Amino acid sequence: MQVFKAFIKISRQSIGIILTYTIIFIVFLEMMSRFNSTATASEFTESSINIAVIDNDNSSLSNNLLKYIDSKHNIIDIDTDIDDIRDAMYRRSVDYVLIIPENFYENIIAGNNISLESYKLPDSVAAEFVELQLNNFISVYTAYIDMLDNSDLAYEKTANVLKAEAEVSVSGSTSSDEISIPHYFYMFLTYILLSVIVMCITPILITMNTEEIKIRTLCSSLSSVKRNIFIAISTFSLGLIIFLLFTVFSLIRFSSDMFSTVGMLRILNCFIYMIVCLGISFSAGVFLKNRNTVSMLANVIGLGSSFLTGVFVDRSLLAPSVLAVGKFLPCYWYINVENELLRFGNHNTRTIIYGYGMQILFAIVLFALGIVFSKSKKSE
Amino acid sequence: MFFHVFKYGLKINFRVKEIVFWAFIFPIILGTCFYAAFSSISTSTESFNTINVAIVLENSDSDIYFKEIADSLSDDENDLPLLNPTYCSSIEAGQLLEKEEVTGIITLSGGIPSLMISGDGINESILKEILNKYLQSVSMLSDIDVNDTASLSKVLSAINNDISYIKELKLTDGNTDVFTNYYYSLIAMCCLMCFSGTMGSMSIKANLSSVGIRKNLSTTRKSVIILGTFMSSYIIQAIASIILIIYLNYVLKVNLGGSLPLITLTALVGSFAGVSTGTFIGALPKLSESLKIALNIIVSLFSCFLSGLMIGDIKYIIQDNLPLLDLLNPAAAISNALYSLNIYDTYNKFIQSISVLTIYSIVLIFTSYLMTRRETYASL
Amino acid sequence: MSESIIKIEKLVKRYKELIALDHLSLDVTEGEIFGLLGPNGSGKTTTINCILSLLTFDKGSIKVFGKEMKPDSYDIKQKIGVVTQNVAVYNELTVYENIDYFCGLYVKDKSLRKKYVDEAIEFVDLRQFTKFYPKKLSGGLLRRLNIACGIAHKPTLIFMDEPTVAVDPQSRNKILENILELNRNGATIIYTSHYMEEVEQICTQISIMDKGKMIATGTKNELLKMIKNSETITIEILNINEETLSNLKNLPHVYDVKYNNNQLKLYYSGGKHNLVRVLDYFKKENIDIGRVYSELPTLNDVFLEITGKELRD
Repeated sequence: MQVFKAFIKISRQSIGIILTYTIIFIVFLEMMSRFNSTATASEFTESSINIAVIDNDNSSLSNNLLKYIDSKHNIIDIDTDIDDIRDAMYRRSVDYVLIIPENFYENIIAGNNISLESYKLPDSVAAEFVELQLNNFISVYTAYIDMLDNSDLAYEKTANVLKAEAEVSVSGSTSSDEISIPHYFYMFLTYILLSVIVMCITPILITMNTEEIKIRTLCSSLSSVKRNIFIAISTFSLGLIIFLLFTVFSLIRFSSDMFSTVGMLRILNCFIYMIVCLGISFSAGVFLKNRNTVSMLANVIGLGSSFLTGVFVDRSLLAPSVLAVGKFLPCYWYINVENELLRFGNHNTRTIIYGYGMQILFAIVLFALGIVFSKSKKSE
Repeated sequence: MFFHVFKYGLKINFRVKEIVFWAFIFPIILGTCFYAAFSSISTSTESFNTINVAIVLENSDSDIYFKEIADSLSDDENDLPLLNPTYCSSIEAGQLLEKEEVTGIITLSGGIPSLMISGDGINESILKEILNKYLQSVSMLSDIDVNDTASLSKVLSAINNDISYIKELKLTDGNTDVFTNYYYSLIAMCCLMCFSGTMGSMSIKANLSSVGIRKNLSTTRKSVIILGTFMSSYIIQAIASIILIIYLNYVLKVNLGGSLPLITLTALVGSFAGVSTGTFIGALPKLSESLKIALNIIVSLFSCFLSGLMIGDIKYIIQDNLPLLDLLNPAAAISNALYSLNIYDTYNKFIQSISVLTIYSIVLIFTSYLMTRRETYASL
Repeated sequence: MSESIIKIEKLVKRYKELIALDHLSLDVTEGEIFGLLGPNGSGKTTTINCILSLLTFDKGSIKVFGKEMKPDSYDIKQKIGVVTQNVAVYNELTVYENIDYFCGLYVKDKSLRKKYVDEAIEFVDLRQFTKFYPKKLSGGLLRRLNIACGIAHKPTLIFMDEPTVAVDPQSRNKILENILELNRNGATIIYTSHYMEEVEQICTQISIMDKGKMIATGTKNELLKMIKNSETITIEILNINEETLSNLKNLPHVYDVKYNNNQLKLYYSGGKHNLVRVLDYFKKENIDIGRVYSELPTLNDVFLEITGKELRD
């Protein structure tokens, strides 16, 4: 009982840390929900983007081109100064800038070599599609002009042709927008949970393991086994409390998504990961001596593994060699489960079970490490 | 006197574990993680692979046209065919899709293809575009009189037209890789995490440390002691950030964009901001030493989070929604400065960011000075 | 005529409602080893901090070397050395570096400073430990380092605030010897402690404080003369009857007799041959006695009599 009380007292000192990380987390969450439409929207959906057009040609072609663009996207006015363009693009107020040079139409008809000019952001898939649409429009439109010699009719026919779209059905998954926020919540939670648990619980364990206190407790009437059991219970309780805080928050915030099979599996995933974090915390408590070292460790493991396993940067963008290293981090298996849950209905149950299993394995190894070293230190 | 205080300040700082770790080691570790995570991006996104697709024919005459197109797209006499089709039944196709052996299923019905996919990546989008193009071609062809050979040839050339009418202009001479932003935030973090400033200012105040009492009673002017301590912290911070830049630029060969001398200048001003922050935190009354160290970590991690250290896009959200925060955040100022060196030709934005940092530093230093110069207290 | 090196008049310091120093007056003459004695919380450290101009005070005046002490009184500061209650050294610097650092805040000249530092190390006998870090030093050695840092620049007025707390006997003796040597070399020492024996041992002038007030001040003998008791004789005796007790009470200079647990205690006020007299008495009466010993009063007794409390907690 006393052991537990001591735990609580020491953990009060960590309130600041818990609060801070929680605030970072909540800020992140709010950002992601506002940001959702642009970043997390599936690259597949043809959303309309912001385009700025600088028309130096003012021909029937350019006007019709503008009309076509306007029908599919938002046309934004910007200044033509290069720095302003850069500014607008990097602030994402404009995703694509098109410049129609003088005499463009004339040259096209004459068959001369002339191009439209564009500015686009690197790696922008949306820009690629816009250009596809523009190229399509121009080739079809110029063909019709050639045949009909009437710009209005040509536009009408072009627009009609370009309306033809294949029917697409997506199997299995629900609309990606709805599930992405809880998904990102639980992804980011790996970093937060690890940081909070390690930074709060490890210092307590370090203090408990300090020689003087250990000796004092050993001399007391509490047997060593009982002491360890109390410590285990207290550690677990604290971890559980932290876990519950975040879980309850997610249940309230994403109620519709979380009260479902997917939601429950997510929570289970998170619970297992929490145990892993406790394992890390436990081992660290045995090996480390200084409270300040704990924050160093927490941030190196937390940030490092988050980058290498696909928390902050999408998994699909990481090199295979990086992922091979990542497999040795428990976070990797957590993310595996999370990604699989995204495709629920079409998912691979084995992957999920495997993910759980690997994490549990990590937890066992970590606890074992801690126990073995704790014993060997005792005998010194 | 100044040099004496300065020299010993350096010695003391270099012997404190926390200072050496957070200033020198942690940024290098994180930078290496970034490098590992990002370096493969260009290779994995730009490489193009043939798309596997299942095609379910209706087994009627109307299949022919589409099949011809499909065959031409899978012609492997070219280096890399666009498609790798598997002709099978609907059920088999469904299984292939579930096992993720094909990206999508094209089903023909009355000669009209429709698409079924299970994900939302680039490949799925390409498949859709292929089908769209096919349907648009069909629409164009069905509109003209079969006997009108002139029109027919124009339409056919329009359909087969692979010309891109758009030429991309270079938006900037700098490095347009989106991930450089992470490195900028990392440099910002390196500049801002300043324990030496905190410890230094704590050691000057008599009501915060016994060593401070000695300093108060010495014949060296308080202002000299404050300056000497500050400079020793600043040198450490500046060296740490320069080492990071050298490591990123020459060892990891990350292209930071912009001129190296100006980047270094940014780091020096950034370090100045960092030491001011650290000194300010150290001079605050009523907080314990470990809490101040925690505050150091929290402040720099959080402000770097807001400038995009973990999730790069946060920076843009803040710029759009809370521009004032972006203006006042020192981490954002540092990363904006580096960013503008990369992207812009003119130095307006750069000077603006540097000015913000300088003003921020001066305000904090002045406040710290007011808090530490006091020599007689109401209570110790 | 020796100058007054420190002169405090009617000093008052309040922390909100608590009165830490209550119209305290103090006079320290040059060349003294001045002891400030009192239980924990009596205001010793507060007094010192006020003298050093580290603490503000509400009323009264303090003059050091005849002048008022201010933060920029560098001429006075040059002559003052402080050995603080909490060890004030850098854990990140070695013994040598610590002394050099703090000495360097007073002495600009490098060669002179080196000489001073070496002398300070010799003085506290830390020659073998110059390359050690504070974490590796025992309590006693740490205190010696603390002293070295405070006196390296050869001050003439030294404040030592509880320098022997948690110190092993060997180091303690060394420290006390050091203080006497410093005094012989011309330094005035202000020594605060709640260890009465040390104060009695080395201090030339003693002030006893309690609850922010000066209770008594003077040399050791002067203080002892303030109380009634001048000698206590304890005799082991198995049986004693009422008659013997009342006879004993009537012995000259006896003002109190107590008998408890076979121990007879006789309290004397004045008189020179009390022990001889009482032994004579028992011999004459043919009463068997066991061990006999005589004690002189201590400052603790002075404190006890004046305040009704013990000096030691």
